[in-house]
Amino acid sequence: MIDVSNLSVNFGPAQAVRDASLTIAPGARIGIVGESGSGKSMLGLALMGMSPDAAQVTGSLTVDGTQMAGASERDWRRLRARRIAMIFQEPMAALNPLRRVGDTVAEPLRVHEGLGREAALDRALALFKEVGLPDPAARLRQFPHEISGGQRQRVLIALALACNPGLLIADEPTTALDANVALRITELLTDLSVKRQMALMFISHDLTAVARATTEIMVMYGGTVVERGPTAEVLNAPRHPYTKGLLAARPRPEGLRQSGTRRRLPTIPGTVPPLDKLPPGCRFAGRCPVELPQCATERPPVVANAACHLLAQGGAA
Amino acid sequence: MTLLAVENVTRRYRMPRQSILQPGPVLTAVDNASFTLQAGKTLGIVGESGSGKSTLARMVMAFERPDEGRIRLDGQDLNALSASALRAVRPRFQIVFQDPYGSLDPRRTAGWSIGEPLRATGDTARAEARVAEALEQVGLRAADAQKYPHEFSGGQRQRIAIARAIVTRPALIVADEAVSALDVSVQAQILNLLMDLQDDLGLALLFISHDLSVVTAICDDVLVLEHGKTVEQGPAEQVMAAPRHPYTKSLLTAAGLT
Repeated sequence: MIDVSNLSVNFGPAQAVRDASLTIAPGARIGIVGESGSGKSMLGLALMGMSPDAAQVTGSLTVDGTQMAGASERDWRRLRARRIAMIFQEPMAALNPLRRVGDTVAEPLRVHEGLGREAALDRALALFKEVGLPDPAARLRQFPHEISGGQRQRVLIALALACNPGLLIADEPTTALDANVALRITELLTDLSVKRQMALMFISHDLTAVARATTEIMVMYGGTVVERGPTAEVLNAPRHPYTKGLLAARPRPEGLRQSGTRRRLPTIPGTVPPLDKLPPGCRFAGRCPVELPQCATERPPVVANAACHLLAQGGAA
Repeated sequence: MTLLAVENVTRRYRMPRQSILQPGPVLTAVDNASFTLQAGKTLGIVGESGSGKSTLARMVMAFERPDEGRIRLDGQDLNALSASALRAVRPRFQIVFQDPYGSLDPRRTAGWSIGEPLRATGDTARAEARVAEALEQVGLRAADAQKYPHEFSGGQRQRIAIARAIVTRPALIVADEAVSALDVSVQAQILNLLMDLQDDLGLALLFISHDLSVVTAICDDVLVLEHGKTVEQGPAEQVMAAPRHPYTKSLLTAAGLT
């Protein structure tokens, strides 16, 4: 459905995304994980044609076989909502506080499908049922401040589903929610993807949520995809040194205490450099525990789904 | 030695009125909470939004008074102290907040912000040297005192907030969601820093978080709050291995820890 090759997003000399390639088949569930500044949100926005004005986007991006790189805002508007929809982290900020949530969800149906008010509200009601909002008919007439955070996120999911998109991009959909609510939203997104045969792109720094929602995963660091593969495989047996470091740094309860002292967590040394100061070779150079001399200057080849000089030579990180 | 004792503390808030004829309903944010914290130890307070964990933190910091119950630090009832007496014991207990950007003045240098607790308590002798010492204790350089908050990364800003908390050489630090806004790899660095500081300085830590995996990695004991009520408390390893309350179980499941 979507084919991305060598997509880059530049802000002058700063490269937010470097040569990302991916294919999204109908019904696929792909997780994009990475920390702040890894480029995961910029990649999501580029797929919606919503990169910031200051960004220069290069590379190829086809949707249903149509080349969308450099497409006009008008062309994008025809695709958005109907083929690709997106939900964001903060559901309160994404809803108009002065509109009833039913009217908000009915709007894309009226704009894109030309439905009348009554017909659009009927469809909104059906969507509210589908996303599991309790007492959906009463919800239609409520304002965003009258419902809880988890319910607001459900309203936004209903809004995104309104025009039956083939791909739903969820950018940190569970980050602002409590753990129990986040779990239910993750389950809802997974169910919807399966039932509707809708592709799901789940962008998150929360590895637990991504593990639950997706079957494939891409790990990003410094704007590059460092490792990809089946979710369970990458999370259980990471190969790239960054993926390994990231997974090891998660606080785990087991082995909390050794001989009376608390165990320190393994850390990745240093901090993520600013985008315009990333090393030209492997972006992880300078922080990598198994760095080779060429890493800082030469871009690592991608061998067996991991971009790493050491792995390419047959070493193990 | 018992450093902090929270005894049957309850805090109620009056909600906005819904009718002009009646006063608004009362919300019990913290309902009869009790715990003690020994010097040098760590107690985790876990709960979701609205569970009352931040209200508890504010009461321990004496920013707010409990409606019932007592909070004792070194055996002294904090709410029985006069304003000036309270100010005199402030150096003993300090707080680190979630958002290091919101809790640092963007127009003041890091050094000014770190030195503020010293000025507030009138303890200004050798302030500059103590700010430098605090910066080095949190893994920054003494020269960083001249920089402004925007010149630091998120993790470094949280280090500055921690430096500000330890500059008075406290016995207790309240960490209210202190690592929640940080990326996983930065979070690990800050958790290690907190554990190192505890070992070096003998700090007790009241660690408030919604994230059970973080709490179990750092805390000796855990207290689980739901809607202001204490549903479970005990040693962290025991609560993790054999949670008794269904709410604790649901939190463990949601965090992917079971």
